[in-house]
Amino acid sequence: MNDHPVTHLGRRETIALRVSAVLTLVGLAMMVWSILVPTPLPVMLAMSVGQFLGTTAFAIYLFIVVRQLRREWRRARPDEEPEKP
Amino acid sequence: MVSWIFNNPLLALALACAAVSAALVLWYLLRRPQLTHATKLVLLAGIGILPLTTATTGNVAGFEGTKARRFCGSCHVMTPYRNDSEDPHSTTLAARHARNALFGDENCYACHADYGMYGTIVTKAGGLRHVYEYVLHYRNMSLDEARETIHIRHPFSNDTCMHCHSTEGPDWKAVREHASLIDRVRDGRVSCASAGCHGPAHPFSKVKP
Repeated sequence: MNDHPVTHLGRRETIALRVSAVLTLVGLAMMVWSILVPTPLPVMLAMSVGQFLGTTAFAIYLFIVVRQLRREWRRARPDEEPEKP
Repeated sequence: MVSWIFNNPLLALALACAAVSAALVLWYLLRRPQLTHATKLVLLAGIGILPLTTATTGNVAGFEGTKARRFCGSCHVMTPYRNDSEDPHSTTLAARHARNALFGDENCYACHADYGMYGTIVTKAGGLRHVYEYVLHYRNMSLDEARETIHIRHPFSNDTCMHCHSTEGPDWKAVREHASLIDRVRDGRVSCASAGCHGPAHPFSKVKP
């Protein structure tokens, strides 16, 4: 039995997960900018665009991982035996 | 700057979470590991939990930061107001309040905030309008031009003064002018900042060049 089962993602899902990672970095950069330079523009950008990017990134991650988990769960579920008359 | 950040635990937490999150996400992007349960958990922390913590603590710190005089004074047209508040020899109403420890570094917000039920939201919405006006109209304006052009949107409300000076204290009532005007001060017919009383908080803004 494999202790570390690997989830194989499709090409589009892999790209989406990488996009999600990049969006996270951009969102984080805006939030950090607003903390280091607390002037109106960075603060407003962080609280609007930065958080939108962060939320989008997390939503993409959740979508991909939850969908994959559901697939694995369906695959692992034993087939139900038909009822005997 | 470093001491300012690390004196504020929220900012330090926000930055620490952002740093760890960025490290995890960069590890995923550069190493391209297989998607095991461990990798999923790392990404859950890097894309979900830690950025959410940064956003939450950053928001709280950001909202607190918008109260600081440094924030208000970061638009150049506010420079004279900021300088006056920070001048230890200034005798203007604004500077005298800024020297009060209860106002301190947040004296702009303390006097210009709305203290109604939805005061914080109304004040923040007003602040957004300030940014809009600044970016579109006042960004390249000289200070002299700004002093003549920019005015407070509504007359300064006595309610803001009465947030601290309740008009109920015996010392306040002992002032002859207060006693004679008490009803008109309370309902706003006579402004605390009118010329015959305490005068404008930023008198230099009223002087014609």
